[in-house]
Amino acid sequence: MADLAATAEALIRGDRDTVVNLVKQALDEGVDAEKILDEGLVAGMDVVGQKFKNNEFYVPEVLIAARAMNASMELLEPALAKSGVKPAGVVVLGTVKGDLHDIGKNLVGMMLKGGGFRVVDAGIDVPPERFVQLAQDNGAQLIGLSALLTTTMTQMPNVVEAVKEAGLDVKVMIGGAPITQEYADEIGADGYAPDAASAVEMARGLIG
Amino acid sequence: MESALERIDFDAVKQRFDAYWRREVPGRPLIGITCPRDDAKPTDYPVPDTVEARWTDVGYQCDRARHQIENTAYFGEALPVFMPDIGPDSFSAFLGGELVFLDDQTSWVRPFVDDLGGYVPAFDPGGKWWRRICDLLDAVCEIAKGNFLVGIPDLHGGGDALAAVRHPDKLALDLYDEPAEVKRLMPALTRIYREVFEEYHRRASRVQDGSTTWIHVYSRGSFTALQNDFSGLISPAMFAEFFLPEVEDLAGWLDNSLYHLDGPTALGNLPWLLDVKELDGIQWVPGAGAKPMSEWTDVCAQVLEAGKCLHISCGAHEVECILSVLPHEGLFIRTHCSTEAEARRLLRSVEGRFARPPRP
Ligand code: B12
Repeated sequence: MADLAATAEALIRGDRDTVVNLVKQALDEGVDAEKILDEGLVAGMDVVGQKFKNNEFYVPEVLIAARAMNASMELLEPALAKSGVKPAGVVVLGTVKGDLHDIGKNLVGMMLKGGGFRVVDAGIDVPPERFVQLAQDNGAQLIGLSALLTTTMTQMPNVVEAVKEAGLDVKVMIGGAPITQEYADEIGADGYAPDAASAVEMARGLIG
Repeated sequence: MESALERIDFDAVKQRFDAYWRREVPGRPLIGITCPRDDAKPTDYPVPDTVEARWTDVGYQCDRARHQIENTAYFGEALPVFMPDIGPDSFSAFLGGELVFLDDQTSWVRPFVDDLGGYVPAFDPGGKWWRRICDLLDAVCEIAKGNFLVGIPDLHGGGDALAAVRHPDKLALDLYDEPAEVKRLMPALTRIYREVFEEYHRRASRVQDGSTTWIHVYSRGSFTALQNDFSGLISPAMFAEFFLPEVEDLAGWLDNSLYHLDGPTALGNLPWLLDVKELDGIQWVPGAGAKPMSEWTDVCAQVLEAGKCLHISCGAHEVECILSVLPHEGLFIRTHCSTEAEARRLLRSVEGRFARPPRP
């Protein structure tokens, strides 16, 4: 019998081989792909996000879990596509112009993937036009902006502005160490989250 | 140029730092206060057009040094220091990385090591970036002699170097996937670190006694800041396993050392660092957007009570509050005022309120 709780546990440990084997086994047994995703992988990544938030996990632990997640998604994606399951939403995620910090952004991206979103990684040092372009090209509902410098967070309102100017129906969510809810309000961003786990909840709220 | 070392009583300042390293209080707590001089002049030198030239042009950097030192007033144990600098990733550039200058504050090295197992770090003294920093260092030394101090350029050791040449995300995975390789590479990087430091120190020693760096503390011997910003991303257990040996090695090798502890996420590593016998102390930096220094006195006290030196920077208005709650042995506070009158007032107040007669 497929054991989705064990899948989640192996994912939390970052044990890629075990996760992949358990997912394979579950698929072979005919377990619904969406159920595997929700009760195995997403459930596991939620715990990883919480542990990271509580300083029980650090960057390496999140990354090995995310890697296990990615490896099993390769198995799962064809089955999900066949059963007509759509991603929870499409998010364009990047670090703003002038800023090279991408560790936090990458973690947010992995947690969003873990939460069932399709993530388009815009990379680092991304100018506002590029965010708009990628959102249009990919039919995104959400743009996620990361900034780690007090000198680059000032790029965020430019993206909010560019989205407005392009007339896109796309929400903007922001984050990074120097960012606060007040700042999000001030620049007219739709959401702010202090960490990767909360970013997933925020994205669900904004898109859902 | 006018000598800033003559403006301060450098011999007395040196003696106070001797006391600092001995965890003694030389009459009053150590405090370094800087401010713009009352007669400060605007910049009057040409600025190169390109970002790269603004980082590396020898004439421009010497103009900057001269202007900065001549227009700053120094009080207490504030030191007139200029540190030649091509960015935090310079050490990785000496290992063969290509430095990219993004703006006037930012330079970085693009990751270039794909295969950790096959990587053998090598320092090329004929390399472009090493020659650049040596040219800067020599030129600044030339004008510094007798006038101001030259800081040992910012050196990020093995952990940060590996994070830069690999990318931090990859190094984070390496700690799980290839721990033996990381452990093979760290001592090799420490050896190169020593080589680089020795050469910096040798060049600076041609014009000055003792050493200082971007942390403006003075040592009569060899001193620099030990740092590993990558360690803020990993568990204290991993920090101890992979990176503490380098701190132990370098702290034992240098005459004086302070470890730069950056941000709340690195605080878990503090107990390990306080256990490193040869490490003189800690520079605590709360990080961007964090609470002001006066709200971190618990961390400060933990360092001082462990018998270590502490270096902190804070707002001028916080100084007296911090001095009234912390022990003064091994404490050095740096702050900045907006006018000379304000700086003088602060120093006098510290001398008055916190004076302590010398030990018999
Ligand atoms: C690693 C690092 C670097 C690395 C970056 C490597 C990389 N590939 O990312 C390197 C060495 C390149 C670097 C360079 C610089 N850095 Co730096 N760096 C750091 C460091 C040590 C850690 C940052 C980090 O990754 N944190 C861990 C991640 C997981 O946290 P996070 O990014 O905050 O992300 C979390 C949340 O904020 C949130 N989040 C993040 N993004 C998003 C996005 C969305 C949409 C949402 C909802 C949430 C969200 O979720 C994440 C996970 O929970 C910090 C110091 C520190 N201890 O924080 C300094 C720090 C950020 N750097 C700083 C500086 C000054 C620089 C440089 C200017 C230094 C220089 N002179 O060259 C350059 C600037 C380069 C540039 N233009 O970007 C300063 C910033 C100060 C300020 N007030 O602006 C800091 C605070 C150090 C300090 N104390 O001074 N740095």
